[in-house]
Amino acid sequence: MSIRDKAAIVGAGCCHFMENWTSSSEDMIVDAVAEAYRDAGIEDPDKQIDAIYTGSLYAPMGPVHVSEALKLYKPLTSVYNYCATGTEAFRAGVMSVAAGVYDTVLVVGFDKPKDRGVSGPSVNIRGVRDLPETPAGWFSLCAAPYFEKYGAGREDLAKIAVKNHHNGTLAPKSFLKKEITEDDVLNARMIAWPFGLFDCAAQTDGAAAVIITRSDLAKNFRDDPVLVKAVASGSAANPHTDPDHDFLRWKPTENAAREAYAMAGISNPFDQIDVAQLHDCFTLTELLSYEDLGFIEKGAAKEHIASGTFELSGELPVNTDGGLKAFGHPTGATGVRMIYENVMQLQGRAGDRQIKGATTALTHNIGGYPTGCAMTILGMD
Amino acid sequence: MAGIKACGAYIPPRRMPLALLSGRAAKEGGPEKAVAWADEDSITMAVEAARSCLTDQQRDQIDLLIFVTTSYAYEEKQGAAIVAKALNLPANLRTLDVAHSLRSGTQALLAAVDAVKADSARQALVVIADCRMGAPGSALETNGGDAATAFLIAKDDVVAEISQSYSASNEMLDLWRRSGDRFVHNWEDRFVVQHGYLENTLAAVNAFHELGIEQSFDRTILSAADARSHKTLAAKLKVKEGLQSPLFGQVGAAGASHAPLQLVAALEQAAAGEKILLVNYGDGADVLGITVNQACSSNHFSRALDNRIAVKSLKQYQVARDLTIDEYQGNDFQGISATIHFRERDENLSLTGHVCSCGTHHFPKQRVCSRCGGIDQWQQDRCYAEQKGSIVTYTLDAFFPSPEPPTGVAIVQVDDGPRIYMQLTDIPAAEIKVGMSLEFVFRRIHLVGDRPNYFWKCRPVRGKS
Repeated sequence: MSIRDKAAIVGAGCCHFMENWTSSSEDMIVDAVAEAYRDAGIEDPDKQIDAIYTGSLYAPMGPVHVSEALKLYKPLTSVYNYCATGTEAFRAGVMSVAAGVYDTVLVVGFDKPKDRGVSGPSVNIRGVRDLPETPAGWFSLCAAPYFEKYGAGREDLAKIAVKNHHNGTLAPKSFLKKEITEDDVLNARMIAWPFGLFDCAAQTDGAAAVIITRSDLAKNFRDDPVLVKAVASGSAANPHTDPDHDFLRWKPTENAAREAYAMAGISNPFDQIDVAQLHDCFTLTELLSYEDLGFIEKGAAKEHIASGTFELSGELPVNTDGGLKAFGHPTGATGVRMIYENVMQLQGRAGDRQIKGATTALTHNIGGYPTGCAMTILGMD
Repeated sequence: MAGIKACGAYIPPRRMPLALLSGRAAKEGGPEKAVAWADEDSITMAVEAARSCLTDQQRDQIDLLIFVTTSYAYEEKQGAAIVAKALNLPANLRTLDVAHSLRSGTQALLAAVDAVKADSARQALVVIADCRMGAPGSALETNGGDAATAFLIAKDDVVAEISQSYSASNEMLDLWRRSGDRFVHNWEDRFVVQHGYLENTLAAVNAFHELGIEQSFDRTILSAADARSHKTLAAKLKVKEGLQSPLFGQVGAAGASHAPLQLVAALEQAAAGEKILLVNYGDGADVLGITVNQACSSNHFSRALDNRIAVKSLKQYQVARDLTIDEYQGNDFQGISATIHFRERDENLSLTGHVCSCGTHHFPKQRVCSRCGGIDQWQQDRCYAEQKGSIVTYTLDAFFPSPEPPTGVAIVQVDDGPRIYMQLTDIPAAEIKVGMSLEFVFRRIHLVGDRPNYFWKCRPVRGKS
């Protein structure tokens, strides 16, 4: 049974993604949710919201940050799936509405990694095996085989970073608003080969929120609700021990995409998707996702990067707000932030980065080793 | 004329019977000392003393805050700023720490009076707090105590004035606490008392008298390391009456606050017109002549002294003062879980995995086969340590903390075996290639928990032997 068109987004909000030294998780949650309330015309959340779905990787109090920040005491659920956490919270919310359990739910993704006093992700040594345990190390493992087979290299990755930095300058709530050059990327200090500093997403604090309701109730909230065409999740074997991995792709993305396209009725994603927010935790992750999502053939990314296919003016603009790279990556918030950006794009509210006439938009998260992926496809008709 | 407008005191309520320290039973009414408890330190005591001092006082006139201690948690980071914030003083305030010497309290008082006299501060707050640690069994552990005092220095409406003072500096290694030390150390006590304490204080008092203003005093306050030195100095100074109690057996020698605490007691006991002589020792000596202008209306000292909670056992004291012996900070800091290591010792030490009935190798061992999905269909354990392998893919991780970054790491395909995520060693980064042949080598993988943790790494296959 598909959930296509059963639920609609009627409100979206996002705080400024930053190293928010002066605001708490609760402050950011209130910023994002107050915007979503205004967007949906919700004036009495206690009467108009039936349940809350949240996700965070770092929150010491989990979902209680949300209920206490908002003083909204409803059925409260927290989900966890590494970097796909925000999208998974959205997925849980959509499923609850599609199943008819609730009419209207609030989804909040948030994280506050900058209260830890650490730059970048935590490196906790808990075992004696499976080290080094760093995201850059994990996501870099496709580089050597992919570069060798398809002739791509660090300079192709650099173009992705340059593109996303440019897009970030056009998004008012993005963290990094600085144009960079390919040389900046290539000359930065190395994090995990082939990733230099500029190949890596910017870890920030942030919160984003959406309000989902039954499609038949959506017009009660606003005239231009955004329909959920698909929300999907995929997992795959840990690539570190998978005996059959070719390290040219990330299988969770392929598995999620198959489910999402079937749900949304998409047979040719490159033509049918107008704008996409992809999980650029590292530049190579975005490159592989172009192919793993079936936008282009495996191995064709290099030529499409060169021709500008995925730039704002290209045929399929990717990461229009700067992505994880420039908008910032508060892990639990990221998936919901992507949905926020696509809502802005589909409703024609994306300002200088607006993709004209966009009616179908895709979001994609991948996380773990990587082992899990979650996706959404939103549309206006 | 600047002087003391208000004073305050804080004595931690926990009182340690000295008998317990020497392994005897505590007796009701026996000698004791004040000890800062597990949730107290020089900062918290300073704040409490300042709050008592500022009862009924306006805080918006304070332009200078001096925090005085010899026992503070940070080598770099100002304590006065913490105290100022806890007191909710305005941010446009001069803050200053004075430290490192038992004489710091009187030095700070004199500096504060100078600042107010010179109109560079309308009012100054001097807060003196100490909780010095004496090593278990040492004389300092028995004789020392913890306390804090606070003095508001102002121009008008003062309770007492410092009419005359004399200071002298002296360099000797009598008492010290090196950076990183928890306990205060001292040289042989007879040397310290004779050439440090007595010589310096007596010379300073003589020099003070030669200044010729006051010759007779109603009260005398002496700092001292213990009751015996205190008594000796009092005798040499020929003090017969009005010797202020040094509080041994009640509070103990409260570090930089020892003489200041006696001063608070004296001010709260004295009648208008009394003259007080205060002698403070530490890296030299300060002698202060203090004139009481009016009887002090507060009773912070006696209230603090009377607020007692008796410590019941040596163990309580040791736990509160962090004097129990434990080489780990806590259970959370013990490193790799022993129970996990116990379950994984085959994998971690003998690099043992197993083979499914379908022929698929697994490392680490799994219950469910990753190829055929069979549950517990394992034919045999296999130790892979003596097999060779090759690199499927790799990276050089510079983010992972390592003594020698970047850490080479690879997915290794073991010949006739599983794939294993392995660290590389003994190979220059530039030589790492996909397909390169590797062999296993047993290494210390890290020192988490301050223990050697062993696992295998991979290195290039060495030349044929």
